[in-house]
Amino acid sequence: MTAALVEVRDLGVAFATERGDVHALRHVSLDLARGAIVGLVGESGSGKSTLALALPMLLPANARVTGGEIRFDGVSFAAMGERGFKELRGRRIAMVFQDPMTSLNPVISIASHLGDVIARRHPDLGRRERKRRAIAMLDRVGIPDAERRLGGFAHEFSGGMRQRIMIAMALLAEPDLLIADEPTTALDVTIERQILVLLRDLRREFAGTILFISHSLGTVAELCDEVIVLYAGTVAETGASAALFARAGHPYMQALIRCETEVPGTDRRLRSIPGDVPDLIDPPGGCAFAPRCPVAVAACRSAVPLLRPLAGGTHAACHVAR
Amino acid sequence: MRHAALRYFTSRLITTALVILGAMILLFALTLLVRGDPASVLLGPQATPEVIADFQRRMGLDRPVYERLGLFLWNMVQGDLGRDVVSGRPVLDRVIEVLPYTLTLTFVSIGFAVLLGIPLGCYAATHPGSRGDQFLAIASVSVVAIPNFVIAIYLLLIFSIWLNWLPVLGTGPSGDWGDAALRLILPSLSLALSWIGYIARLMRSSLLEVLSEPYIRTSRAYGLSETKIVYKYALRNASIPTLAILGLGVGRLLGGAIFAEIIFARPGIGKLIYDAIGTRNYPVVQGSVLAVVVLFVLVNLAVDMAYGWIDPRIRAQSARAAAPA
Repeated sequence: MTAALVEVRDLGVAFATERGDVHALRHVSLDLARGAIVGLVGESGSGKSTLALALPMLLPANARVTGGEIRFDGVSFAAMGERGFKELRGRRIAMVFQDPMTSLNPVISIASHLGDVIARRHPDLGRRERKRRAIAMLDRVGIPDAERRLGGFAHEFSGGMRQRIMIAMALLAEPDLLIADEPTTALDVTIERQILVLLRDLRREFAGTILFISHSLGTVAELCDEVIVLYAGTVAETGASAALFARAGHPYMQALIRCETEVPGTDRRLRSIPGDVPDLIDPPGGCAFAPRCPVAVAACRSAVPLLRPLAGGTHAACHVAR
Repeated sequence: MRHAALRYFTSRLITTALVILGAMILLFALTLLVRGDPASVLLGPQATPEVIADFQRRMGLDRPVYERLGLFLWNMVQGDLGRDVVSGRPVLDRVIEVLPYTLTLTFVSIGFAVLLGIPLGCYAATHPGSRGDQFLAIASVSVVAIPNFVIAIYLLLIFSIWLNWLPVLGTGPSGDWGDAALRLILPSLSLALSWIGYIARLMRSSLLEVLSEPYIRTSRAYGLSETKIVYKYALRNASIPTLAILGLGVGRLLGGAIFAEIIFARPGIGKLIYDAIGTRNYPVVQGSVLAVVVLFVLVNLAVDMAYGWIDPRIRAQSARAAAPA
């Protein structure tokens, strides 16, 4: 029980495209501790969603694992086989997806969505008990008039309500690992707030691990115990949330924090890190961030930096940071 | 909600009635355009001008066009489709007499198309790139490309003449249901074969599309079995395009029934129209074409209703659309 719930070692994932293989994840190693809320941050295209889909092996057909391994509760995916990791889905791993508008089936009732999740987790439960649990959970995640709305369909609910339904599905699966892939990105700011408050409240009842994926540092700082920063398919920095936001070591993380906090009054979206995210079809040889890095030295362009402990208490993949 | 659904149904019903009215007017106009005078066809080349004039007066052919149209519509609305110029019997009777044969043929064909096309399409979509899928692709395109009547003739040759498994022609003695069913197999199969291929192709592509939707990924993420995902969560969405095609398909099948009825020497509305055209028997042509139009429109009305049953979003939309602003 001392080992982490999820251990990812040297994981590589590539997508086959017309222009060639896109190396979305390269040599990614990380741990998800039991019972922790782990934040996964990074820009668009940094590999956040790829990692989220790789954990339950839900990668699209054009993706393939190029190397490394994933261990869940001490057992590697390679050892458990396809049947084995499919067995995890809906029983030990549950997901909340980014876009609640398209993630619920438009012609299947909410009752069926929830009922099938309960039936998968507890095959012995009767119809009546499944219904009772579904109503109780909808009530719990803040759907008013749950009993009547159970028979409804996704299009009858607002975006925020649909995301609450997705969260209800995830919780009904009683998973050890809940992956929330940018659960608030598709929502209005006020609704986003409500969903985050809901997640924080549920935290007290849900004992499992949560992988919370977001591009919003503020949200992650508020919600998460630990943070993993991805850049161009590699882990740039990891550490306890408090340490990372107080004393980030990696120049990329420092730049990200500056983007979110600097120059009060200006539109946050207008601020950015100079330069572009590297082309992942032909990633740069050394540190992926080197071309945009203000403190890069010669070594950064030739050798890939490995994660190492810094004085601030975090681990960063950087030749320069101390 | 119930009220709105009723309102939607009524508005669809009115549209349906308008389509039928339009069809009636077109049918009437057609008789004005077609060359050949029914009086001279019927009375033969020896008829004197006096006899022809008398005939035209009796048939109302000498009155002004608008008057004839008005009378034509009024009679049709009352269910009077006119009289068969040759036998003198009411056209409605002749249509009702042969309609069951055509309806049976059409719906048995659709039954074949749906019962074989949908499972084959599902198989192909769930085994993309497999040998079965590749075989089905070639077979589907072949049966879609070959015209119905060619298929009909080959089916006749193979199963009735060479193998002698099935009866050749006709509908058999009345009352013998087993024999009637046997005699239905080849004609309906010859009509259905291209539709089996068509529906299988359509089902395959729409199911594949649905299976790549994010909500299917949700079902996978919760570990639902592939069978449950395909047949409970995907098939419903994927069957909507097939349903739309079936509505149109009934029209094509009714048209195709003409070939099948002629080749297999079966009574039916197609054969009735075909024979009536040959003798310039206008009332029979009009009456039976109208019957086909009414059937087609009613089937499409039923298909529209079925959409709402399959997809709750359409149900909600149509309720909104029909509600007063």
